[in-house]
Amino acid sequence: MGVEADMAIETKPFEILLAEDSPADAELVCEALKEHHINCSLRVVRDGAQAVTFIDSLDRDPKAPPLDRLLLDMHLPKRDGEEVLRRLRSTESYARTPVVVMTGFASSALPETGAGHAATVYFQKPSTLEEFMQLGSIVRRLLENNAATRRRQANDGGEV
Amino acid sequence: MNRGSAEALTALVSRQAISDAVFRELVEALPVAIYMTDAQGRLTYFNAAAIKLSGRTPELGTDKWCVTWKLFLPDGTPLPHDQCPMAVALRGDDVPTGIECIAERPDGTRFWFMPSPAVLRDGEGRIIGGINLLMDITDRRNAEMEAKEQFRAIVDTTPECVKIVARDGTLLFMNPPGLGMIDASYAEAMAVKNVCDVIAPEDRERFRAFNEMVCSGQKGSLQFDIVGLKGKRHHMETHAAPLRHMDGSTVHLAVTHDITERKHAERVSLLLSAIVDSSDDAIISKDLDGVITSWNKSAERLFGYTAAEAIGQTVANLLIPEDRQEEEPNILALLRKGERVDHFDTVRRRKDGSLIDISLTISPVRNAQGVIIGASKIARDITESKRIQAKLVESEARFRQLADAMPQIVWTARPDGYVDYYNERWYEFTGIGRFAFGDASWEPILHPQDLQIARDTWYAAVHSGDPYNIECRFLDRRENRWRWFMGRAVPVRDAGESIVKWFGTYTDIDEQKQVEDQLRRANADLEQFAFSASHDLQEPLRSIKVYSELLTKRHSDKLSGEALKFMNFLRNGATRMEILVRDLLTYTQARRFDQPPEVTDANEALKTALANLSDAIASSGAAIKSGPLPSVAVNGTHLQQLFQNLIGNAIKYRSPERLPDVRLEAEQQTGYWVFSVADNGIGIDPKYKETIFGLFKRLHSSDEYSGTGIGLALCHRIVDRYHGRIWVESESGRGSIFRFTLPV
Repeated sequence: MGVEADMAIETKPFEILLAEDSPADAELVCEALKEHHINCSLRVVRDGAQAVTFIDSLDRDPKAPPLDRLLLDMHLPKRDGEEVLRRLRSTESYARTPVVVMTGFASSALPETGAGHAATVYFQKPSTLEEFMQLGSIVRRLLENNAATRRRQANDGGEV
Repeated sequence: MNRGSAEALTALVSRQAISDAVFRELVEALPVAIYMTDAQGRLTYFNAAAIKLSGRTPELGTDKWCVTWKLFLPDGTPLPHDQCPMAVALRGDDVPTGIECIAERPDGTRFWFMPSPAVLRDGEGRIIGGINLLMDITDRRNAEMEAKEQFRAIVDTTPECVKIVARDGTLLFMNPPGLGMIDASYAEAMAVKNVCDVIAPEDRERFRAFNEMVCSGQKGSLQFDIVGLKGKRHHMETHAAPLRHMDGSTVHLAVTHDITERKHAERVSLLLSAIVDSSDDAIISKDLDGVITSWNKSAERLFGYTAAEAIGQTVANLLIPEDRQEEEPNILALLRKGERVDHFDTVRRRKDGSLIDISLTISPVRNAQGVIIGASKIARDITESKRIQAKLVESEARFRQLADAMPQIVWTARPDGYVDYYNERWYEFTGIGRFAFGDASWEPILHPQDLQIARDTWYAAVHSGDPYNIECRFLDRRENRWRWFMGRAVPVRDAGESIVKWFGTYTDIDEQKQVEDQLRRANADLEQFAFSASHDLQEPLRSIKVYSELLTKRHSDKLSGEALKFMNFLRNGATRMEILVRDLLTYTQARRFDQPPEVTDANEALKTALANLSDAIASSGAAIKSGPLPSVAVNGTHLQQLFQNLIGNAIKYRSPERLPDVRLEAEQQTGYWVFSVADNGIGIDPKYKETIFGLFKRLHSSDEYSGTGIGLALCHRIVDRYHGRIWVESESGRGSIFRFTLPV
């Protein structure tokens, strides 16, 4: 498959953090990523506090594997999605990491933190299976953009 | 002695009819100065009277006639000798008769004389000499002068206008007071071509006729107006007599009196008597003994006596009841001291013996010297006002009784805002003393936060005269807490629209206020709950839907036909519930919309609604027609939801027998628009026309027509939010017209 061949350029799977309290939605996210054949190492946390702790630990440990993506549910227990996003953007290493912010039905106001940030995409959880699976293609598109960026960075580094 | 006499003498002398001696004796005896000259004018004879008159004895044959005199004309100019009458006569010229001259004697004294020269001729008619008779007219002239001076003195000192007018209207003379009346100098007056020019235009013709009459020799008098040279009007009264003028014509001599003041006084007096006659008050005058001297019509009406019956009677006898007889001496005593009696309320007796309440005002009347000579008395019938006053007292008592029976606090205030009355409730509630009135009397119990607004509202109302409502808190001293009151005040106006009183109430609305607050909070809680609930309900529904799909997709091969059917029911149920929850959310949000009012083009809102309904319109073959729609002050989403629900319903409840036909119209009324959505569908039984707007009210099973029973409730809620109205006109099977109103 052409897509797999492209992906195969990357030797390592992508590091993705999923912050989602609903096991049913976490399962659907996995299904969507699988549906679009995304080679990833998915880490799932169930509340905002865990997400913040994880981000903090990555930030403190320079040897930790880099985080490629954050899939963030807005309505998290303990600390909400907005807070998690703010913490992520405040770190040096992950200020520009692409994030997919997932919202429930008809969320009236979007969080201000992500607004206008090029690396933030919103995804309103749909109520049909087909639409939900679209999440996979969104993540894939973000990864392809990012892969290109990484290659560019590697080439620039090589020349230096 | 005159010219005739001199000629007669001449004739006698020339004819020598009498002897020279006789002639001389005769002439000497005459009391008239006579002299004779030769043809050259040398004196040949003069008599004793001539010596006396001339003041010197002339030398015969040497002195010429009148050589010793200086001669003057009557106007005082010197008369040269060769011009004097004798010189003229000796030259053979005619000498005018009646000449009067003045001569100055050597001693400087002057006298008036009238010469009568005549010439003596010989047989051939040659002038051989002259004879002259000199009449001493000094006494006559002096008498004439005196009369003239007297006339002038009278004319100059009289304050009246004295004038002489010729028959043709020329002003011949006018004295200074007359000049004053026509605002002219003497020169200006004499320049007036015709005296009629200073007469008021409307009186000119009469004056002209009058002048004609006087100049024809009749005396008379006339009243007329003059305008003078500067247009200032005076009323004049003239008395005129014919006067023989120097030239022999008859002219008009008049003494004219300015009667402007008199006319004015006459008018004032007429006016005054008209007022007295037309007054509703009895106006009576009496002398200082109390004897009635005048009695107007109202006095007649009020007391029943005619003027003839009353005048000459004393007030005490005629009008004063027995028990009040002491009043009159007191009144008369005050009047004698020059004092007035003002609005003295008393009782008087009518002719028929009945008594009336009257109010008396009596003023002393003084004569021109300031001496009190009597009194004028105005009597007003106050029976009616007494009755009104009694009624007023009664109605005030009734008002207080009523006010005290009311559960509200009642107060009244004067037009200037001074509170002059509180009912019993006030004293019970506040415990404030019964004599605390006035502007600040209500302030001590007012909540400090409400004090300013209450003051501002009240004084603004006092200023503008507009009624007002206010809510404020008063301290309830029994419970030691603030209670809410609603205050209302209205001005009471008299027939002339002036405020005579403010009438106000305070109603205890504390409980109502608390219930309102609770209700508002409960409503807010309920809406918040509905919003959150419908929001949170979505999440599990989504899981049910998505997982039922996933299950069917992944495991359909492992599921029986029945299991697949059940899965279908499960998914349909979840879908319906999802719609229900979404509609419910829309419904709760219809009120939550806190956006400022915007102006929405209804045509745009309709376009969006039709786009959302495009599937339903296409599948049903519906025809939607709309007239021109206005812009309204309504949120765009709300308007679109109204159209979408009403048109959606029109299509959904279409008749199976015909294609849906929907018409939209908007009609402007004062302040709002009436929109209508008419269809040709199945219609609505009139008995349901109220219930259909209730939440979850459905007239059909979901098998017949799908729906959540929220659509019309949402429409009702939206229209309600804009203080509009929505209703339906319909009959079963004949289509429906939904109408709703929205603000312009």
